[in-house]
Amino acid sequence: GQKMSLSVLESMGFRVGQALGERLPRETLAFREELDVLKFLCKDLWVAVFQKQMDSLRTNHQGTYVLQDNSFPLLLPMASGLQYLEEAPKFLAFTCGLLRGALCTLGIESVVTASVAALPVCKFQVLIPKS
Amino acid sequence: MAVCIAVIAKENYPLYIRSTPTENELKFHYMVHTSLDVVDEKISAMGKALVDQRELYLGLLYPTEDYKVYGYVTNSKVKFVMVVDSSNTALRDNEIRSMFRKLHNSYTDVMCNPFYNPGDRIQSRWALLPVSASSPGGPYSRVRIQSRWALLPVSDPVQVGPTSCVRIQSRWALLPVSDPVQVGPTPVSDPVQGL
Repeated sequence: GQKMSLSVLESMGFRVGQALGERLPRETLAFREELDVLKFLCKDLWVAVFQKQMDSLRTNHQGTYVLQDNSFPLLLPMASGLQYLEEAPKFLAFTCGLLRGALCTLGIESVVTASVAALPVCKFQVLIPKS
Repeated sequence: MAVCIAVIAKENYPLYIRSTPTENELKFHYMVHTSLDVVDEKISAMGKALVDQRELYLGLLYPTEDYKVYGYVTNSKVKFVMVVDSSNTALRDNEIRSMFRKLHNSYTDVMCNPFYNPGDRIQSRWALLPVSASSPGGPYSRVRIQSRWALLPVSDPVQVGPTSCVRIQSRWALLPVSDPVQVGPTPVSDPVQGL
């Protein structure tokens, strides 16, 4: 059903994210802390994939980060507002996997979920469990 | 020329080890294994240093009487270890750096291969071919792999092995093959036979 296909999409995004996490930070020096990695995701990864930067990054410094994109390129052509809200997860699953894969290559295990309140604004929540 | 090259995953198991076949391979495997301790030490020392001094290239790890061991770590904590003959004094630091950079490029290409699962041993022969096919004392040669279905003959030679120059021509070329195909002492075996 739909749940299966979402997890398949997410795992595809994961594999791509792993490869991108290897290729993108090529000459960049090693990251000092988690926040640097998240900033890299918001700037370099997003620009490489979507040709724009993430609009905002918020954190509670306890391992939860919220990345907000005010005009997500995959949702932009669809509609703006509340129309097609239930179709949105299909487009976000791959991107969640992308973030999770890039974090995995850079050494961070995480859980990434996405939520849409109104197209095309979407938020990606990254949860990094404290070990 | 490097005597042994190893790619080690972040969990410290080898993904790829290749050494020149004339030597005792086990000795190199052991040497690479012991050098991992030095690599870990350097990484933790680097962790406390300032951001400016952080670098991917770790430099000379330790010298023995016959060999020198160099290290390099990527952002994803994958380590590359290279063992070089001590008698080869012509190899300078920036040559070692450029060899590591090529190795890093090849490893990134392997990662991007959709048929490769991260964490598996690197089996592909073509993956790290630019690294293993090296001419003695010189920089690694670039291998150009052309399609068999090309209608035009391949003009650039593919350099493989110490002194060979193999020209791979398409079997289906409409133009006749004018130059003879020279195969050196250590030809690369063609995985796709008899087309």
